[in-house]
Amino acid sequence: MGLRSQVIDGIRELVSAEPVKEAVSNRVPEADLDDRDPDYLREQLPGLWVLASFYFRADVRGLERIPAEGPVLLVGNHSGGNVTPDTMVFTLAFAAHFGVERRLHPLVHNLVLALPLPWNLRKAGCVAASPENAALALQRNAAVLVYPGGDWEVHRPSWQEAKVDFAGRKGFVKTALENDAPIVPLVAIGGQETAVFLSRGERVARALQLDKLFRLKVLPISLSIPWGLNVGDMFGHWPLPAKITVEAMEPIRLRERFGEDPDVDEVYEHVTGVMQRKLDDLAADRRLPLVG
Amino acid sequence: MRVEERITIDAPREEIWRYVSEPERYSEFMVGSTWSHVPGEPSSGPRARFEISIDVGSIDLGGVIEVVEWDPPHELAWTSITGIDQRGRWILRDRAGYTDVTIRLSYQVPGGFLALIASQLGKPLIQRDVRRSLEALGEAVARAPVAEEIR
Repeated sequence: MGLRSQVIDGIRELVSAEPVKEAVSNRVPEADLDDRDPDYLREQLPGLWVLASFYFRADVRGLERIPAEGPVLLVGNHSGGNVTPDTMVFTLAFAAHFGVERRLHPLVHNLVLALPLPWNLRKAGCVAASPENAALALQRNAAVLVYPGGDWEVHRPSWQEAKVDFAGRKGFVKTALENDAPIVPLVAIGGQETAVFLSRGERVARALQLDKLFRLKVLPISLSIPWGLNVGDMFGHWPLPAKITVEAMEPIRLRERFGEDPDVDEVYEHVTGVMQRKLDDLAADRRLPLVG
Repeated sequence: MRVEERITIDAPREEIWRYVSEPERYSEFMVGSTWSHVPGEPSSGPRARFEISIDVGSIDLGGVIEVVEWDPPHELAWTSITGIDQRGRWILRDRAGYTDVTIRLSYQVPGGFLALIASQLGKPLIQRDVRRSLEALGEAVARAPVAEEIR
């Protein structure tokens, strides 16, 4: 047995140990929409505004295209590793534009909710990503923010920045249909410049069975501050000050556009298609990395 | 936090009042903001309500405001109903055919130390747009045909 196999076996044994599994699963909070606290959110806005305006020089466009009332599924492309400035920037812009009274529930990975972060994600409206939680929020006329590409897309190599990659995950289409919610595509660029993302490390993740244990398809490798070579990005990183641009597109009302019984594959292709074209435009407008 | 700017416009006060008394027209000259009437509410005078959106840095601040003081052609003031806490006031003073136009905005950013920093960093951005808005108002008034009943 080679050294590499021994190391992989060792790590696999470590992460599949019952105490680790229990520790992780116990820290995943159940979705309770009433955890969201508008006052907490309001008090976070100034700090987020400073970060967004002066560090990321954020440019958020098209908020007026998002329905001001009623359920809506915001479908975004995801960037920035485990530190996702596009989400932060959009959450701020949404709350500032509509007021903290308009419910926004970002769906986030279980593991992220379990991490001890300086922000209270649940008070900010985040709920564990699942079709059931999305339905709950939509039934309360909320805007639900979903990143179908999730961990797969967020850790794509930096040179694939201008690529929408949902890895064929079509659950968002079913969620929109089942809850009769319009889809608003949300296209962002810049997040993949906040570190040098080298590889998703998907083969290593598979070998370690991270998918079965933690719903993780990747074990990403990047160059980032302060770690240098960063494997896993489990503790996040300090993002480089890349300019973040986010644009909300026109709502897509699925049954109006695709008929009473839309084909999920067709909708998926349409949504990812319009998002890719918009991302191509945003990438073409970008002159320099980081600077934007 | 308070921002106040003043400009003197070569026009009678009543003519300028035509602009400041119609918040729906603010989008024409208030730089970085849009104002639209809230359906079902008065569109002019006291208790008129408007949806506003003001660009500040990377975001636009939305909310609903209500006109709470209405003293034509001297003063008009509004206060926020939703969105960030803010108040605004137009003051028009007659200066022998000219008019001193003052706009005053006060706002309160929620939160602690970061709110203070955000307020300080945001103030020059707001001040710049307010100054440009007054200049745009002056230009709009200068371009407008003089109304018979005013001259």
